[in-house]
Amino acid sequence: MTNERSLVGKSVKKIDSLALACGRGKYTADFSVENPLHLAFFYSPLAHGNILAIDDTPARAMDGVVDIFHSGNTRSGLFTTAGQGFPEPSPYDTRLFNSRVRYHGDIVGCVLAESVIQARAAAAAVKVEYEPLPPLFDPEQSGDPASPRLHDGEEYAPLPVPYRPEENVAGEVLFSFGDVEKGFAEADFIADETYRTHYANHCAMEPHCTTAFFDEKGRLVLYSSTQVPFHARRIVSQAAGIPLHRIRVIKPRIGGGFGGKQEVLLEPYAALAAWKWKRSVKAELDRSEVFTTGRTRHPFRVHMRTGVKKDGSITAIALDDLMNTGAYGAHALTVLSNAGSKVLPLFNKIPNVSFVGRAVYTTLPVGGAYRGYGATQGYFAFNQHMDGIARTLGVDFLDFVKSRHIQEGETSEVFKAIGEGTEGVSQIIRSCKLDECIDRGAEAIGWARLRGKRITSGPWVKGVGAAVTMQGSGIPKVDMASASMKMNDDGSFNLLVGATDIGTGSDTILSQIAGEALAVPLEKIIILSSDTDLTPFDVGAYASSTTYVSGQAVLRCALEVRSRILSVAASMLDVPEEDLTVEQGGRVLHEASGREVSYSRIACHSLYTRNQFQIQGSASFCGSESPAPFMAQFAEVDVDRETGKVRVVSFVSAGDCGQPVNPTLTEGQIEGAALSGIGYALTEEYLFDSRGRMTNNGFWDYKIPGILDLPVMKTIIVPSSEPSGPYGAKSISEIGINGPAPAIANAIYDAVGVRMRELPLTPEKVLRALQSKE
Amino acid sequence: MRKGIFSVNGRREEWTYHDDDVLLDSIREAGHTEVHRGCKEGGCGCCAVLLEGVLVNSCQVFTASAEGRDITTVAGLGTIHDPHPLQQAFVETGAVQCGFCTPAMILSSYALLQKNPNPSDEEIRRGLDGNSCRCTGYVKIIEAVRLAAGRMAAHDE
Amino acid sequence: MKKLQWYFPDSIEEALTLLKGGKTVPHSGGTSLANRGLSSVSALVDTARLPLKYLRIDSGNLEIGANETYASVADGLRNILPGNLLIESLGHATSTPLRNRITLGGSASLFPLWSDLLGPMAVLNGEIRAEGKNGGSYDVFAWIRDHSLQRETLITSLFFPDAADWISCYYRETRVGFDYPSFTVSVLARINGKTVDTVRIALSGGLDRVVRLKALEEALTGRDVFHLSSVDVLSMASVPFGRKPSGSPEYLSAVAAVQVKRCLETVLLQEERR
Repeated sequence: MTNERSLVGKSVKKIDSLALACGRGKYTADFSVENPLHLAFFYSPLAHGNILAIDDTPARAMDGVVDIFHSGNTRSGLFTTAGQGFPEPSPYDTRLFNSRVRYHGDIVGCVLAESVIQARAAAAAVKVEYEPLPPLFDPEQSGDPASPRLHDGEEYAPLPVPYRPEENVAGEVLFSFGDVEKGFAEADFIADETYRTHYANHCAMEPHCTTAFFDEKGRLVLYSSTQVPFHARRIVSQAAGIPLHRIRVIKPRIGGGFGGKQEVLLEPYAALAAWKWKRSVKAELDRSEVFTTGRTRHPFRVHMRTGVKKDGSITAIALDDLMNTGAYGAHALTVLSNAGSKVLPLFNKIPNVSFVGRAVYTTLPVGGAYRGYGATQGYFAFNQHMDGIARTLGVDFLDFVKSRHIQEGETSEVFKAIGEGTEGVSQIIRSCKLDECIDRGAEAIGWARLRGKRITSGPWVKGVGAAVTMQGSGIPKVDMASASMKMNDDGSFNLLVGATDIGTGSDTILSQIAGEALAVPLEKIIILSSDTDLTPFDVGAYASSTTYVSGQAVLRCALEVRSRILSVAASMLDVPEEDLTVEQGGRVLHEASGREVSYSRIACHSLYTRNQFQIQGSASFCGSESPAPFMAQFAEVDVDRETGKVRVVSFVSAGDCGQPVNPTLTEGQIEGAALSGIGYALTEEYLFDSRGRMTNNGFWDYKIPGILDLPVMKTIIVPSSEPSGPYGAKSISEIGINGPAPAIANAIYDAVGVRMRELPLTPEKVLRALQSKE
Repeated sequence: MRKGIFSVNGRREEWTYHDDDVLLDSIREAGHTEVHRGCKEGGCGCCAVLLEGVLVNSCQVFTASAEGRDITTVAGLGTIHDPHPLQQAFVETGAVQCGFCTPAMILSSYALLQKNPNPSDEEIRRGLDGNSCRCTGYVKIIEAVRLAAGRMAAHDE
Repeated sequence: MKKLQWYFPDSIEEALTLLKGGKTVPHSGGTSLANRGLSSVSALVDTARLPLKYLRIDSGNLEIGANETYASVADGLRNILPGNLLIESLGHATSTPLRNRITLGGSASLFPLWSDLLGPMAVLNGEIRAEGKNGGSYDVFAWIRDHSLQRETLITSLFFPDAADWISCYYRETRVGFDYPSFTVSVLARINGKTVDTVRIALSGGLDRVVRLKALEEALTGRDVFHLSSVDVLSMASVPFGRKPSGSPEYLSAVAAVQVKRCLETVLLQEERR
């Protein structure tokens, strides 16, 4: 076999894309099931309160109503909606039906009815009496003795992690090395700044949906728009009290996730209702519910202090993060951890480092997993902070970064110190082409031509800014993926993976990896993902794990199958196995004799001829490290000095994700993440009224960038080879969302000299900053 | 309840629907689930169809007002066995990620190219301005429309 | 699900008869009704079959039938009145599929959020022509002041006297490309040599929904175009705003005035700075 690759590194067509383009792809809501009932929720109209009484009598009498579930009639145990490994690092602080509501939009109960309209009408007719309790909107006041405690019952953390509900602390990360105070004492100056990031929504185009029905054996089948089918099965079993072996979760096509569907939100309710009434049930959120009842990006306050010597060496860095997790602690500890563990290793030569992170409860919407997962928030502060220090030193930001960032062969204490609910894992960076990312990105944006030039046209001033970031590839020693494969008569292969394609293209790249290992064209790999009855376990689509972790599982599985193929071929040709090679197109060659045997003959031999057996394999993979992808992103902006408007003219992303398995899909991940990040930077935000109600829970007032807002977008893939990755691959899905906000903010500074420390960078805030500067 | 005749992708269908139903719900109810529900407020464009050849958001059209009309969904443009050049181009350029916006995005592109077979990038953006996509960043979608326009023009010559 | 009577009249007379009494409203594109809901409505009179789809220009007077959509008006005017303000305002309002569906009649009856019609009507001295109980011709200010005018009344056309040969500038303030405007600025002018013959300026989106900036118009009319630089446009164009998702009242008021100034510079000094 030659080293020339036939599939990995090639932009093959995404295997489900033709079906999707022709309208043949089926999403959860598209399945018709027999005579379904429909579920509609009713929600808290208060930020905080105790439910005193629920009168559902009039609602039950309404047309089509079958049942109404709420805390008054349905007991449910504590659990977390966070779709994570078991036991979860998130606290068990919620029930399906809480008797206390903790934010405006908290689920109070749900109506089951013959039609959606009837269910919604009845949901609006349920009368709930509340005892209002004082709200807690400001995370800074969460520890104040005068503030209400949101969780003072039996809530607990299933893992031994810091959890102090008596102080409204949902998670805490404390870590340091060296001596930060000594470091500050040695510094010539200390940069001391506070940054703030905001709530944001994933806005996957497909709203959350679950369709439940019973198979002929009376088992409950859930089609669900989930990133985590196996976690969903486990959590449904736990929360709805249904034996796990009676549940099957099928993931059909998914209309985007971005972390929002790493939450097990609808499945337990649909399962509970279906199980009780032994009928099909459909539950689908409308867009406003996705905003308020779905999950969000956790807002952060990042206080960053850095001690610097005149020669530019950094003597110490101290990070103090306060994260608002909202009413419940979904992903609280782990998002918080990532705000340190994905950020601090980037400048790994700082001798004295401390990180104090606290995730606190408030009576506001619930945070959750969101592409970037804490790194986005951390890097907003980090890149601006470092841009400022470079400017103080009179050094170009890019040169400043290049002489400080982590390099191949280096490590960081942080890797070992901060894990995700457990201790971290020590690792050495074995691939890093960040310098090349910086150089090529700078060239593409025109850094030398634009930086500091403040080219002016009327009221508009041009600036350019950059941001550098890293992420991970799965959670080491936690995330496990597996694959199984069998060979068919014609030399094709069924590949079954638990890895969950939510639109990312993972079915395609995993097929490419398998096809590469077996030297067959893509159409000979018939992939199925993910079905808890058919496919082996995989944690699911999160933590940038699929290419690296699931990819390794698929590669190992394919290599196992390959060795079986060789052994059958050896007995067919009656030659030693080690003299055989696998050749492109699915042949096994005995080079010395020139004899060869095709996969289809091998398959038929093993199925029908002698010593019959099924050529098959299975493999699991759990990474012992989490190699980081790296990225440099650049924004060219025009700032209108008279109105504060910021126009992103051009945006460049240059990323190192190891060997891109499919460059077109890789670019697609980066471009999508970059534009999403631009929306996060400029226009997307949750607006609340004085009672904590979100006032802009729809696309008319939560503004995501559209096609008219797309800047000139350039994407550069800087290849490297990650020794621990499948064919040298690392992850790419999340990292691209981290850079836009700080790159744009740095560009604004470059243009007009104001430091924008609070997201989003709305025209009004920019104008106010300009006016207070004058 | 009302009964009415609708023509979907050239086939006559009889639907039963409520007086206040919108086309999105009725057409999905009739089995055309390639029309997707993203927001039901005209803000995302995932539900777009061609009504008498004109691009509209089906969530913003009352079913009663579409009775007797020709409706085209993405399934009416081509099939997996015989795709339309736009469907082919979306596949080839990588313009399809999760695919939820794709049917409507392709219909918008189709409507645009019907009116303007050789659009500039700016005109492509205008033509697709009502269709949101959260996956792709639109870069490859614009590329797909450009590619299809070129091929369709070459084919017409 | 709600019981609703649908009517599909063929003539205006028939439509007017159907509109008589109670809770019957006209339906054309339906975009506003679909979002607003039909709770107060018991019957709908669909206007699709009425002969209200036309664009007529007659010695500078433009009349647009109520069934014309934003898209069809913008397309039609490109041929018969190139450069007209409505091409820019209606042709870029909201999104393509909505522009294909929103009719001028529907828009004039509701003035929903995405109305990019309001400002242009104010500067073009547009009239709403209606038949039925309150039939007649109304200027936009009178029309939007009194919603009861619409009872049992059908908008048949919008009429724009003297619609040709203006220099114009239109600005819509949006957060992203596909958005309803938080305010719009419409400016029309005729310039003779270097003298401003006529100038009309409207600002929509403030507390008064739409205002003509008469004092500013007067300060500029009959003067040399360069007189603009000695007029305090920013204070004369300052109108009160309410809080919007896009900003505070103070901010919106200030930047709207900036955009008025820029539109005037574009029109009077032919400067393009937007």
